[in-house]
Parts: sequence; C-alpha cells; structure tokens
Amino acid sequence: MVGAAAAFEGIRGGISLINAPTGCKFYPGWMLDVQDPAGSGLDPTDFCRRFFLGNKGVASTALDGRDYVYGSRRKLEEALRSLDAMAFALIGIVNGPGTALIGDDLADQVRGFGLRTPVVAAESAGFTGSMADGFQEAGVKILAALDLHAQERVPRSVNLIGFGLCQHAWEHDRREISALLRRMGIEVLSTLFAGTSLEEVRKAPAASLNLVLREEYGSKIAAFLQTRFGTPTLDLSVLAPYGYLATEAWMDAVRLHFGIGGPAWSQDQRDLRLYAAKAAERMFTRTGLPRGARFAICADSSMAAPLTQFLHRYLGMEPALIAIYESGPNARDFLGHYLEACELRPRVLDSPDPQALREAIAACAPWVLFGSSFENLILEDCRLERRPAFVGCSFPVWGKFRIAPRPWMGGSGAAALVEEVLNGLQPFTTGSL
Amino acid sequence: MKQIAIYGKGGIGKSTIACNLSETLAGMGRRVLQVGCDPKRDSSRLLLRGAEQNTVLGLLKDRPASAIALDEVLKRSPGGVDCIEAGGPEPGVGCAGRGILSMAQVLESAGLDKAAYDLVLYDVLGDVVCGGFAVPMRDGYADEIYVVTSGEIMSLYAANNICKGLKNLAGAKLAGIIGNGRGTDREEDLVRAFARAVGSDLTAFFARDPLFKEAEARGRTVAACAPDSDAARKFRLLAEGILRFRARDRVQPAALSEQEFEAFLSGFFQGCAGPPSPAAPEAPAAAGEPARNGHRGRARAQKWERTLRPAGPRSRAVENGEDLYSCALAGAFSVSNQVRDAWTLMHSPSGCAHTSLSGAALSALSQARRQRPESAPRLSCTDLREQEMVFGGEGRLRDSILRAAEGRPSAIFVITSCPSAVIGDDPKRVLERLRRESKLEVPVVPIASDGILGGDYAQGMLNAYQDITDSLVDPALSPEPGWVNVVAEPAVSDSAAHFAFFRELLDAFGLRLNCRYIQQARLEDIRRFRRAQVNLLAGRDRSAEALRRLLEERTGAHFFPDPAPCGWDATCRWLRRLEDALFRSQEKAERWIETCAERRRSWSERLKRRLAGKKAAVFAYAGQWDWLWEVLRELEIEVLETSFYENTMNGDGVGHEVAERRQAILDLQPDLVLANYALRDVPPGVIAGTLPFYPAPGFFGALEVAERWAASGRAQAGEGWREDLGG
Repeated sequence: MVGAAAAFEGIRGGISLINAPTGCKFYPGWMLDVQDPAGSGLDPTDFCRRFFLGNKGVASTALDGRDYVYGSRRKLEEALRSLDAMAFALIGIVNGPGTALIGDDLADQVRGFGLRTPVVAAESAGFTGSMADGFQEAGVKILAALDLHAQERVPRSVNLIGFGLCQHAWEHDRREISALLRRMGIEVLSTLFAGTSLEEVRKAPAASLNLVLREEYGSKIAAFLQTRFGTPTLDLSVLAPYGYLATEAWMDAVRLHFGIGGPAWSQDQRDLRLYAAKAAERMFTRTGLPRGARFAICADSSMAAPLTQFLHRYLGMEPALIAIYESGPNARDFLGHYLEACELRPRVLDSPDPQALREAIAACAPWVLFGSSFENLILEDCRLERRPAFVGCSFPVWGKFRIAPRPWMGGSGAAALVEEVLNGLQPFTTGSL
Repeated sequence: MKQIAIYGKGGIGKSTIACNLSETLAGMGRRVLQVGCDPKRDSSRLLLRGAEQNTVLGLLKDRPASAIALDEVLKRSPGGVDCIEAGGPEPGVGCAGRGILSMAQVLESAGLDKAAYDLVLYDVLGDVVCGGFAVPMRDGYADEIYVVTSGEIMSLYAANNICKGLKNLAGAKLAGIIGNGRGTDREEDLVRAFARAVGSDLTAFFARDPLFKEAEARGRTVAACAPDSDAARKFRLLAEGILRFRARDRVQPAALSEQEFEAFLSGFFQGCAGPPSPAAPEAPAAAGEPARNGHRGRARAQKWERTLRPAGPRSRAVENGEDLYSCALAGAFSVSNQVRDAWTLMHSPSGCAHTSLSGAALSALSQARRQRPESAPRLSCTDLREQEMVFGGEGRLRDSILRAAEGRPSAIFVITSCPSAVIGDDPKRVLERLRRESKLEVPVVPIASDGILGGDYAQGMLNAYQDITDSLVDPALSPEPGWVNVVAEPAVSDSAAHFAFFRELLDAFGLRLNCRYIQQARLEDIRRFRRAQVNLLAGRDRSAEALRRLLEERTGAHFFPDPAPCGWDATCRWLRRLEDALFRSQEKAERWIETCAERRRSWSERLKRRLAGKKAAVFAYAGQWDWLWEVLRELEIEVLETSFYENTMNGDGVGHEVAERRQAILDLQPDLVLANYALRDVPPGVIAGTLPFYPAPGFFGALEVAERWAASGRAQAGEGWREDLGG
C-alpha cells in the first residue's frame, strides 16, 4: 500500500487516495510528504477537509465498519469527486487491506464516475506483497493508463527507473546520477517514479534505454516499457552505484552500452576521492580502524550488496549482519556469491521481523549500523556495551533534515559513506593513540 | 472465446448443470475450461470421475503464487474438459471470498491462456455474498451469467437476491435462467414466470429425473452415462443455445423487492391451494439491503453492529456515529506500548505494525524532545499475508505468541486489525488452546481492537484500558493511606515535564507514588493499582475522562474530582482543595505556593513587558483552553478572535476555512496569532505563537508557553525563507 502510494505521489501534482480507514493513511501521508523535499510542508489546518484530516500527503476515503459490509463505492465516489475538483495531475487509488478483503472492484467503480482527472487504480493491499511490489504494480498501471504511443527515439537518452519516494535520499541520488549521466552526454527523459511530471512520463517511450538502478522498484516497470515500445533495458542493480567500485563499474557499463569514451571521474570527484582516502589513512594510522570494524546493514538487496562490497573492499570492514528487506534476485545472488568468494560469514536475514532483528543486532554487536530509523529505535533496546554508530540510509529516516546535496550514490555518495563511517567510529577509538 | 458464469443457491444443482454442459460442449468438439469457484471443491467431480485434483488455494496455502505452475492445478477430464478448482478454507475459518480473488491472481500469474478455449465456464458458489464471489462477474471474466433455480420458494428467493447482486455489480450481463426441477407443482411455469419477472427468459428447464441421481452415484454426467436420454438432448440444446447467444440480448435483471417478490408469488399461486414448499423462506445471508461488494453481508453487519454498541465505554465518534479518526488498532497500541516491560503483538499485516511503530516512535520523540527516545516500542507482528487471508491466521497467531514469549516480557498484549477481524480470527480461542496445552508462561491479554471495525483511535484506547484493567489489576488489594496513582498522562506530550509536577506534589504533600496509569508503568505497578488511596487525573481531554469513569466502574477507584491544573490561579485552587480533601488542612499547599510566588511574579512581569497590550487571534483545535484564557488575562493580552477546529478527541468546533482565516488575520491585524501549529500565513511582524495540546501542569506550564511567544516576538528581524517559497 505504501509502495503504491509512493509511486502515485512520485508524479508531480499527483495524489494518492487510499481506499481505507483513516488509520491507514497517516503514516504514508506524513512520511511521503516528508520524503519529498518539494512537498507541502505541514500545516494541518490547511488540510482539515474531510478526506485529508489534517495531513496533506495522501487522501483517504475514511471507511468504517459500515463500508466493510456494504462496500466502499459511496465514499470512493465522494472522495474522487472532491479530489477531481482540486485539479490534481493524477489520482491514484490504492486499496487498504480491509478493502481488498471485501473485494471491491476499483477499476469498475471508477469507470462510471466521469472524472476529468486521470485516475489509476492499484489493488496493492498491504498483505498482497511488499512495498516494492506495490510500487511496481502502481508504476505499471500508470504507464498503461496513460495510453502512451511509440515515439522517435532521442539518441543517448535514458529513463531512470527504480527511484521512489519510499527510498531515503532519493532526490539527492537522482541528482547525482543525472549529473554523472550528463557528464557522459546522456539525457534523462523521465525518472520512474519520483519527482517526475506526467509530461516527462509521456516522453518515456522516446528514451534509448531503460536504466534500472534498483531492480526491486524497477524491473517490472522496465519490462513493461521494453515489451510495449521495444526500449532496451540495462539492469545494473548488482552494480547500483554505492561506493567507488560499484560506481566505476556502473559508469563503465553505461559507457559501453552507448559507446562513449572519456575519463571515469571529474577532477573534483578525483579530489574528493583522494580526501576520503586520506581521511581513512589518518584514522588507520592512529587506530588501525576502519579495518576490521564490524558493520550491519539493514536495506534492500540492491543497496545492501554494493554497500557490503564497498565497506569490505574499500574500507576493510567486516560484515556482521546483513538484513535484506526488499530482495531483488540479481543483487541478492550477487551478495551471496560475494560473501562466499571472500569467505565472509555474516548473519544474513531475509525479511526479518522486528524481534528477530533485535536479537540479531544484540548478538552481532556491530560498530556501525546502516539502516532506517526503525533499526535505530531497536538499538535502544539491545543493551549493547557500546552503542553502534547509526547511518540512516534506508526508508524511513526521521528526525533529521537533509537539504545540502548528500547522496549515497555516485562519487559524492561514496565520500559521504566514508565520512559517516569514520565519524561514527570515533567513539570506538578510545584508548588508541 | 466465450466466458459464462453459473450462479445459484447452494445445493440447487449448479455443478451438475455445469458439468453436463461442459461435457456436452466438449463432446461437440469445443475446447472447454470449467473453473470451480466453491470452497467445497466439488465442481468438477462428475467430470474427473472422482480423480484427485490439486486446488489452487490448496497449493497457495504452502507456497507463493509465483511458485504455482498451471499444470499443477489444471486437469483434463476423460471427456476432454479442462478443470480447475479454487478450493478454499475449511468452514468457519479464513475468507473464501478472498480465496476467489487469490485464485484469479494465481491463474493470471501462472499464465492461463483463456483465449485458447471456446468456452470458459465459472461455477460459482451460492449467493453473491461478497466481492470475492463477484469476481467472475468482473470485466475480463464472465460475459454472460446464468442463474440456476428450482421452483422451490427458497431457491427463487435466492435467485432473486443473485439478480440484485448482478444488477449492482455486473450491469447487463444476465443471459438467462436455467431451471433445475425438484418436482414441485407447475414448477416450469413458475420458473418461467420468475424469469420474466426479472426481465429475462427461461433458457432451459430440466425436470426432475432419476437419471441424474444414477449418474451422480456413478460419478459421471448424464451426458456421458445416457447420451440418448431426454436430459442429454436438452443439454445439447442448452449448449447450442449458449454458443449462439448474442451479447446484445443480455439484460440487466429487474430484481424484485421483497414486497414485489411476495406479490409475484401470491399472484402466481392465486387459485392454487398454496405455495408448493411448506417451509417459509429463510432470509438468506444477503437478505435485506444488497451487500454490494461488501463482505458476507450478515456476518459483517453483526461485527459492525458490535462496533456501534461496544460493551464498555464508547468514544465520542463511535457514540455519535461520526467519521472515525485513525483506528482502534492504533489507539490500542498507543496504550499497550506504554507498559514498559510488556510486549505488544499485532495480529495484522506488517503495514499496520509499521504505521503504529512510526506513530509510537514519533510520539516518543516528542515526549523526549530529542532525537532518540528513552526506549524502543516493543512490538512484533503476525505479518498476515495472502495465505492467512484465505485460510485464517490463528495458527500464525499461536506461533507468534509463543515466539514473543521467548523474550520473557512481563506480559503480551495481542491487538487485532481489520483483516484479522474480517477473516474471523479469534485470539481468545487461540489463547484458550495454548492454556489447555500449558504453553503460556507469561500473561497474555487480548485487546479487542479489530482496526476500524473496533472503532476510532479513542475507542481503541478505551478498549485497551478496559482489557488491561480487567486482566491485570489485582482485585484483592485495598486502598492504603498515602499512596497515589497518577492517571491518564497525555501520551503525546513532554512526559518528563508533565510528571515533574506530580513528583513535586508528592514530595510537598508527603505522598507516595503507587502507579502511573499507564505511562511508563510496569506490570507490577498495574497489578497493585487498587492500593492507591487517591487517583489524580493528569489528562484533561475526553479520553482521560472516559478512563476515569472506566476505572471507577471497574476497580472502584477513588478520584480527586478535578484534573491536574495549568496556570497560577488554577494550580493554587487545586492544591488547596486536594490538601483539604486528603488532610483536612491547607498548610502544605500554602507553603508550596509561597515558595513559587516570587518566581511567578518576576516571570509574569518580565513577560508582561513584552506582551502586555498586544492583541491576539486564536485559531486552534477545540479543547480545554481555560489555562490559555487565564494566562492571556494575566499578561494583559486582548483577544480579538477565537476560532476552534473540530477535534474528535476533545470537542466540537467550527473553525475558519483557510481563506477565511487569512482574511480574518488581514482584517483584524492582530499582534499575536496563536494556533496549535505556527501558521504560515501570519504576516511578517506578527508573532506566530504555538499552543501545545497538553501544556505542562502546575504553576508555570502556561508561562512556559507564553515565553515561547515572547521569544518569537523577539526574533522578528526577518524570515527570508518565506520569500523563497514564493506566493
């Protein structure tokens, strides 16, 4: 449900309508609004009206027990007509878990209302799949609903696929990746689906390449475009550009596809990379760290795999725990092979529940934990002798603004990762020189 | 390719008709697929001659949809019909309707190519009792729908109800009525008359014939056993008719109202001795108002009625039938999560837990006013998925309780969600079994929340308070002098600042804290709740009042009548009354007041220098604002305008629309705009003051709030970011 809402809200001027009780809307409404740097800001009194309840991000049909008995049509129509009058670019309906159980046929209901705003319905109730599943289902439905037509290809152009509001720092990553591509002379036509306009989405069939950055959020969307318009797909999820090594490999793969030459890094990026190495050297010579520092990652596989590789191969750290939330087959396989090849034996958990995760963190006692604010909360209860440094890199991260460019992807992202690790390890250097 | 669905009352012979029809069509050289949409999984029994067949939902129970291959669920009968059975949960558990939805998704993901058939036939269970059983009516499924009925009144009654469902859900898709005779008087005429009454035709009528019974006893169709019989000939005619049927001849049924149905029957039987069936018609599950898309009309209606009339205290929204804010699951968790050494298990999809966890974390952050809360919410979740929606989640709940118990919490609270309620899972039943097996070593308290079916957030809080009180408070204890409970501290506030007042009070009056109910409480605190001589109400909203009534009723608790005060005058009055009630004296209160008087005077004077004479406009959620009026009076601030917005937790309000508010600010030109959230539309130079929902109680809580207004007034140098926002 949250994933589908993220896809709809990823369209500039788009709105999600969650066909569910109001309890199902506050979290996605608040979180997705906070995740969008160009979001509304929160003034609840601006959105006191019935279907928003003081929280703009997402609207709700505000169902109750009666609607579970008699169906949601009446409230759905009322909400849709209300939103239609507010001139959104697109309305995306998402079923809540209870509504999915009663079996309301969203598509059929919407057809009869005669609305001016384009409406897309996704049935992605919470129990039917993961956040990424819901994101992709909604994404494919948006593309199908827009009735796109084949267009003349724009040479050296791409659709960036797999970015979503349900990823931490997505906007920073998008800017970083767009800048890298621009330097290679490649134009980004659309970003599916985050911070993109309907006009940009309509240009998607003209792209020369679907560039999938996070397979969990993009493989089906790319497949749809490939099937419908013949756009080739380059799925670089195993090389999602987290860290220097993956970023280099990623850029090489893109260059190879387009037959582009030129240096891998700009001078600025080379300088930054040198500074990161110098900083690592300083810590190493004083303390022997970061070599051997134990880390835990709680993230989707397309982030966990390259990040593990980077922390291990570049900083010499040791993986203690890897918890995978959304699992893409390519990145998950890559991670398994990498750990095996390097004879690393961290604890690996797939889709762990909070209790299992709590126990694993307590048992592994990492020094640095990469994850979301949920894991940061769990740390409070783990009663570890030394509290690990926390790096908020997975969705959601709350309580911190992120304004200045600070991606996790690309060269700048690698520098930020090094910085976070080195700063986070400072308390662990007590007693060293 | 043509797709048809056959609906009819349970036991009326739908599957017999469907199997005979399918086998007849296959015998005519047509490629036929029959999909049984009935948890009884007997749709294709006559076609497969009793051979074993995997059901779709039988496989889905143990593996994901993507791991089910088409050839595992599709079986070709000896007569050449491809058969698929949905299957479903055992009676009384899970949700068979959801099962039909799940089956449709599995078949799609397994790559079922319906276009490869000349005819796809859906054999659907009984009435259209919920949206799941309406799936075969959806676009992309059956284009034509046939309703099977006999001439018995109950069967006609059910057929009429199905027509109601068709009218609402499918529009013009009714292709005809098929009669399956039971041997009643003038049966074919009656069924034909019924078909006309609903605007359709009698497509075929099969008179009662012992051949059907004989064939069924041999596990075969009449078409296969007796191809030269009259019945087999009729099936050939029916098959040809269905193949010939044109889409434009479909109708939207004119389903009869109950009165019309009775009139139709009495009209038909005028002059006869009476209706053929001696039994009066029983109201079927979907009787009365059509359960349009809703779930299992009557069962859910009962659940909904329960929401409207919960056994214990009721929230305002539930009481008044208003829109429900958030849901009872979130409200219940907001209470259970406050018990420090307990564990909450949410019987729900993981999304509900995510939402609640975030809410609790953010609330904890706001309580602690720093980035990290003092303790993490202790929550796990049964993570209900598609399989549990179909087959029920009690097994998963059982395993999750045992798993949570491994962490040795002091108690486990089980709270339920919309989906678990809709599929009918009963935590009490699960606990009973675990107790019988002696597998529980910690107290487990089921809290009746049921998501939105249980009511709104406030109702969930009340349910949690009630269930925790009833289950855990030790009834054997009696009040002892000097012990005090602090009850209903606001969950979304600065808890440390709130409790500081009570801590000072206990010291000043020489009292001892027995229990904070329920913030920061431990199980042992809750157990000894009844030991307190007096209970002090910390919260001032409706929920706090409701909790007070609940505790008075359930535990006989004695409450000091007034909730904790905020502001100088209110606090002085409150302390004097409390001391008088407890000790028949006032010296402790006077001593405390005296020690605070100078601080209050100087603080108040300092703020007055900055704020006195200013004019204020107040735009806030409805609630208890007596402390605000007192501090505005004390600081000599004039109130130009007050506007209160609706707040289901506290009270009514009819606040300005945003545009009206902006205009009011422009017209009134206040120096100070006070609101729960600093308003963006406050012009430069005007102080934007915030109003906490729950200011700290005691002498200085209100002045602390006013201090922030004064600080905001000092910082009026400029806010360039507003210009960057544009507009």
